[in-house]
Amino acid sequence: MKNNNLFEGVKSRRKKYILSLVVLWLIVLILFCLNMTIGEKNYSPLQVINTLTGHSSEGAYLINKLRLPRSLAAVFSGIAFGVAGNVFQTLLRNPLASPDIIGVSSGSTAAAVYCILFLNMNRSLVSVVAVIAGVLTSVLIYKIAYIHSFSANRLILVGIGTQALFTAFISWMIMSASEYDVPTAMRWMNGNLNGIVTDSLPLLIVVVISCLLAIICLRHQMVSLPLGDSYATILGIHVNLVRTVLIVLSVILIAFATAITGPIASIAFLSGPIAKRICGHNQANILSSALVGAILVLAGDFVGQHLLYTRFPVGVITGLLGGPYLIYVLVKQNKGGQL
Amino acid sequence: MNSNTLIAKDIQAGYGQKNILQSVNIHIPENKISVILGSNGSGKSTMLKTFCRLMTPTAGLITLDGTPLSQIKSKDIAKSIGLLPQTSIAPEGIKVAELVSRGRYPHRQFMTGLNKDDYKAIEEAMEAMKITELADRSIDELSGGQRQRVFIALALAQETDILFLDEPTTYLDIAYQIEILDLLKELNKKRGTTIVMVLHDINLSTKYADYLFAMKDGTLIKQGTPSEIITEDTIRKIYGIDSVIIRDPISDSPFVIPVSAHDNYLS
Repeated sequence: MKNNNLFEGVKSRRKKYILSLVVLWLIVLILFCLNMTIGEKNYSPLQVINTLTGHSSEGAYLINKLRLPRSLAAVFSGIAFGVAGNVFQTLLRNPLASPDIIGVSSGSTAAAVYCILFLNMNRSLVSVVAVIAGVLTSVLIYKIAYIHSFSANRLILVGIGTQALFTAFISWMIMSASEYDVPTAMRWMNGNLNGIVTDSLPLLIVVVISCLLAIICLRHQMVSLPLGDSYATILGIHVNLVRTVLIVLSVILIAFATAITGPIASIAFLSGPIAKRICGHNQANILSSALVGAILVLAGDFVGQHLLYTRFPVGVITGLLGGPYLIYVLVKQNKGGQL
Repeated sequence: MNSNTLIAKDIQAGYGQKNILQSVNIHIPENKISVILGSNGSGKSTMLKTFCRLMTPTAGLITLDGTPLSQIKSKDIAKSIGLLPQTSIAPEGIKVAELVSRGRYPHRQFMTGLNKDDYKAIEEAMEAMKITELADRSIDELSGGQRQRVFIALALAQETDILFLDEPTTYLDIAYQIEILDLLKELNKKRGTTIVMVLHDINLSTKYADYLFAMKDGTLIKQGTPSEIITEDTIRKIYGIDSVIIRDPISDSPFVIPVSAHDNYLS
C-alpha cells in the first residue's frame, strides 16, 4: 500500500529516536556505575550494591555518604541544566539563548554567593533565595528586552549584558570576602560536586522529576512554537501562556540545580544541540537533552576527579567543552547573518 | 453541514493607538474563493489577522456560525479556521512529513501519538500539494515554491473548513504562482473549502476568485464578483491609477491593463 511508504520515514525516525534514548540511558547507567565504583578506593559493582542495600558495611561512608549523593547530584543537575537549556534554545530559536549565557544562571549564582559570603545563610535557605533570584533575573531580562514586542535577539543581547554584570558582581564579592569563605563561594563560579550533602538531594530530585514531567506534557506545544507565534496561535495554542509556563519551569530547574551544585558550566548550552545532533530535529528532544545533560556532568566529573594530574571541579572540565562550541556557534551565526 | 459561516460586524483593529480597520462589515462567502484587493497599507493583512485571531478587534464582533470567536475554545476555532501567514519560519533540520504533521495539533489528544485520522489527513494534504515525494527531505533543502507548498500542506492537514492565505504567491515565479492557485482551486472544488486570500496580482485575482473585496484606507469600498466590481473606476479608487479593462480571452474574466505615464494615453 502506498500510504505505508509515505510514513515509513516518519516511523523509522521515531524508532531511531527511541533507540537513541535507550543508548543514552545505558551510557548514563555505565557512567553512574563508574562514578560509584572508582575512586580513592575501588569497589566492585556487586560490593557497591551490597553496601547500598545495607547487606554489607564495607566502604559504607565512602559509598553511601560521598559517592551516592555526588553521583545523584550529577545526574539530576545534569537533567535540569540539559532540559532547561533545550527549552530556552527551542523557544527563542537560537542556540545562544541558553540560560547560562543569557544571565539566568548568573542571577541565581550572584544571589547565592551574596547569601553565603555576607549573610552566612545555611544551604537550604540559599537554595530558595537562588530560585527566587533566578526567576527575578528572568523577569528583569524579559522586561528590559520587551520594547513594544517580544524579540528573541534583543533578549539574548540583554541577557549577555546581564550575565557580564552579574559575573563582575560575583568576582567583586569573592575578592572582598574573608579568605575562609572563599572556597565555599568558589563552587559558585563554575559548579562543583564536592561536599554535596544527602539532605539537599530529595528536594532536587522531586523538583527535577516534576518539572521534567510537566515539560513533557507540553511537548506538542513545544514543537509548534518554533514555527512562530502566528502558526502556534492558528493551531489553537495559547502562545503566551505556554511560553511563560515553559520558561518558569526551566528557570525553576536551573535555579534548584544551581543552588545545589553551582552553575556547572556549559551543560545547558551544550545538551540541546548535542541531543539534536544525535536524535534529529523532529521531536522536542526533552528526554534526549536530559540524558545528554546527565552524561556530560557525570563524564565531566569523572574526568575531573580521576583522569587528570590533579582534581578539578566538574565545571572547569565542562567549561572547556563549552568555549570552543560557543565560538563555533558565533562564527556560524555570523556567516548566516543572524546576530 | 460544515461549520463555516464567518461574519465580521463593525470591526475595528490596529496597532497601539493607530486604528487600521475602520468599522468593517464582512460576510465571508461560504465554499467560495474570495480575494481581498487593496493597495499597500489598506488594511488587507490586518483584516486577515483579525479573522485569524492574530489581532484582537478593538471594537466589533467576529462570529463563527453565530458564536463570537472569543467564546469558542482556541483549539475548536483551530479546527475551523486555518491560515498561511505572509512569512513562514521553518525550524532548522525538520523533515517535511513531520512539519506537515504539526498541523494536526488541534485534533490531537493530550498524551497520544499520531492516530489513523492524523495519518490520513497528513497524507491527503501532502497529496493535494503534490509533495509526497519530499516527505523525507529536510525543509532547508527545498526551493521557495516547494517550501510554500509544504506550508500550505501544513494548513491543509489542520482540516479546516475555512482557509486564509496571506499573499501565498509572493516571491514565486509565474509557474509556481499558477501551480499553487490551481491547487487551491482544486481544493475548493473537491472539499468545498472556503478560501480567502490576499493577492497583489489583480489579474490572477479575477481569474481565480469567485468574489472580490476591495479595501481602501481600512474600509471596505466594494465587494462582488470580479465582473461586477472590476471597472476602471474601482481600480482608480483602490490604487489611484488609470487603467483599461479588457476581457481575458480564455476565462472571460476582467483583465486590467495599467496605464503608465509614458503611454501617452488619455482616458
